[in-house]
Amino acid sequence: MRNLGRCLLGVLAVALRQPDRQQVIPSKHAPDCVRALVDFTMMAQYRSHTPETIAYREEYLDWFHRMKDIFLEFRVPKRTRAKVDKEQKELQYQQAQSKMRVAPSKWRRRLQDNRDEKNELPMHMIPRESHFNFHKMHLLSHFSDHIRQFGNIPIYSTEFGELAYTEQIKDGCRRFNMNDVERQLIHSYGRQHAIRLRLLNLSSFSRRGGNRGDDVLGY
Amino acid sequence: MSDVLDFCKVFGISLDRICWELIRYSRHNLPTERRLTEELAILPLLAVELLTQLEILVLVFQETDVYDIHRARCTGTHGFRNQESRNDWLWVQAGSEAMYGALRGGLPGKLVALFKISDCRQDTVRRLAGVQMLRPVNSGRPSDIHSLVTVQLRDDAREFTLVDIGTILGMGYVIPEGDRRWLVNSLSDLRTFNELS
Repeated sequence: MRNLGRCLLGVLAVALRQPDRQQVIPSKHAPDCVRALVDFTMMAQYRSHTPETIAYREEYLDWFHRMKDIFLEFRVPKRTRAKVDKEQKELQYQQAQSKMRVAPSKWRRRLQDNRDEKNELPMHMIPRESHFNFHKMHLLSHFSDHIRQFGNIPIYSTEFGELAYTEQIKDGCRRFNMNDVERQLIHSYGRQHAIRLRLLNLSSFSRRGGNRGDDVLGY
Repeated sequence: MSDVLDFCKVFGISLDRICWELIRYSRHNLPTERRLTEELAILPLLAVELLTQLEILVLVFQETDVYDIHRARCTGTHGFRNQESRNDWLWVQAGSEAMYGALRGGLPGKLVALFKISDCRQDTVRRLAGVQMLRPVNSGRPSDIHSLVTVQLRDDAREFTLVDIGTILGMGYVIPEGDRRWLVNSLSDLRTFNELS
């Protein structure tokens, strides 16, 4: 997701660089909205913050909320889509019922009007029924408070736990003979951790001018 | 590869072109007493060693002693790992911070050659990069719509510019926009984002 954010705006800007007449306004609003969200996520990755950076983040989030309606049509719930389909079918049925003898030119115009009416139906219903009220969207508004209370966001990232799973469990399991594997894993990881900590202490000690003891560090 | 002549043959560049670029680089970047010779009989005979990879240390954003290593590759016309040639985009410090608007003195460029040139008379070795520099459109002002800066190939049709590898700041990321135009991706990493946005 993070890597997607890095190239999303550029790709979108290139894709929308020559819009047709109907798409001029969406092609301006969509990159604006994406820009605000990407800026917000970039700033969420900062490892230290100042009141200015937090204010910037809030500004980006406000801007995103102001512009996000451009993507509303892609947030249509299944229920609304079914409702739209149903109403379109009903409209089609009603239009089919009104059979009157008219001149061919009038008939063509009426057909076009019917088609326009059918296409406009979702345009009215979707903004009324669609929304961005879901948990993940709401959580963005708490990022700033979280930073003020607990510190930067990346230290609470779940990626570390996911990586630890690979390093501690998967790699460990490959090395063992699967007899009493939990006990072996815990002991092995404990030992590795202790050795790493010991080496870090020794190198820190030697950096501060202590006797390096190359025989100890030469692992 | 042994000298500038061989270098020209490998890259398909005319000898005049490379000599002119070397002289230009020397005049603009080196102190008078350390300049390369400008004698066209001697310059092509300077020893050149071609390189294919440049490791650039880039300080991680908001860190003081942690570095990322950017590995820029330049295989010239040769293929890279059984595929087509690879000539990476770079970010080059081309001027002071006040220049090029939002780009703040940096310009993206495509690496076309990476080599080491030795001047045995002065006993010096210089590591240079041939970079196809781009120039900012609209004085480097970000677009009102997507806030990215557009760059394009220079009009002067110079195939490449020689720069010292010390002026290379890191890997550059550009997105092709159209004919000879690219968008500078300022969201590629936190440092670039912080500096260009």
